[in-house]
Amino acid sequence: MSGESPFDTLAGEYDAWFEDEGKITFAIEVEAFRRVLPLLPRPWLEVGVGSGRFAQALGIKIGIDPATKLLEIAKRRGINVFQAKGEERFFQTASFGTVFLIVTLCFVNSPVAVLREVHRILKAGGKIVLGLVLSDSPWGRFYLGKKKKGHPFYKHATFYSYTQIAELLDSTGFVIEKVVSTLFQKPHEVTEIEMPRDGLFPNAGFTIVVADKVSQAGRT
Amino acid sequence: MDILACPVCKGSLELTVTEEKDDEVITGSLFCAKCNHSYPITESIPNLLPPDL
Repeated sequence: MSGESPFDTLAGEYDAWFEDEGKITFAIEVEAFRRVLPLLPRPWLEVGVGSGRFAQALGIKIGIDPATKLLEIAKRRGINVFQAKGEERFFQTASFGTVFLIVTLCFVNSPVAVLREVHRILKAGGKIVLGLVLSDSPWGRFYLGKKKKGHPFYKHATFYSYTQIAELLDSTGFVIEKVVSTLFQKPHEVTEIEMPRDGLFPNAGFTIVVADKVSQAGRT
Repeated sequence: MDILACPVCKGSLELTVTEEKDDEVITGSLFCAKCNHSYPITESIPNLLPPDL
């Protein structure tokens, strides 16, 4: 997305969601990520860092995003940010231990191009961490409804099923290591903090997938 | 700087500092001699979007 994306024009509104309407949802998702953090080699990068909410909460020091206004907010949160797109090859090969994409894959033009680039910049033994709203989940259906109504953010989103995500990862040189599910409360009914559950659950609103980088030649 | 490369040719980038504060580059540029293209740093944020964006 260019500098004219809704993530620039509505940056303040986007960032405010984490403190008002989405406050508990955000806390639930952060709690779920904390379950996988001990598995993840450093250094860490977040692709689609936005305003740096997750990066700050999870201790991710470096982030990229094409949206200028969001990056300015992320910078104030102490994140080292670069204005760039995930498809572009501007990091040296094998620079990171872990790359996070948190509700980002749904907004990129080419998921395959982004995943291939993530594969390239990960070190041997590196991991990718996806934070996902799956298309076939209650929250996926909720956001698809917003997309159809022309929501400024979600009209640009493409949500994927778990099967599609697994195929994307497999085709770009990753093997899924762990899945964590959370957000079992329904949209507009989130009232309390939840504990995440290991595994894939169809009624979860937010799914975390951790996958290992494998060499293309090493895959079966 | 060590982890960065030119997004077009993957060559190395040369940092020019215009303004610095507390060891942080506030404004400046990252120049690729091979492409003869300069990527600006504004408000401490390097812009590595390709030239056509």
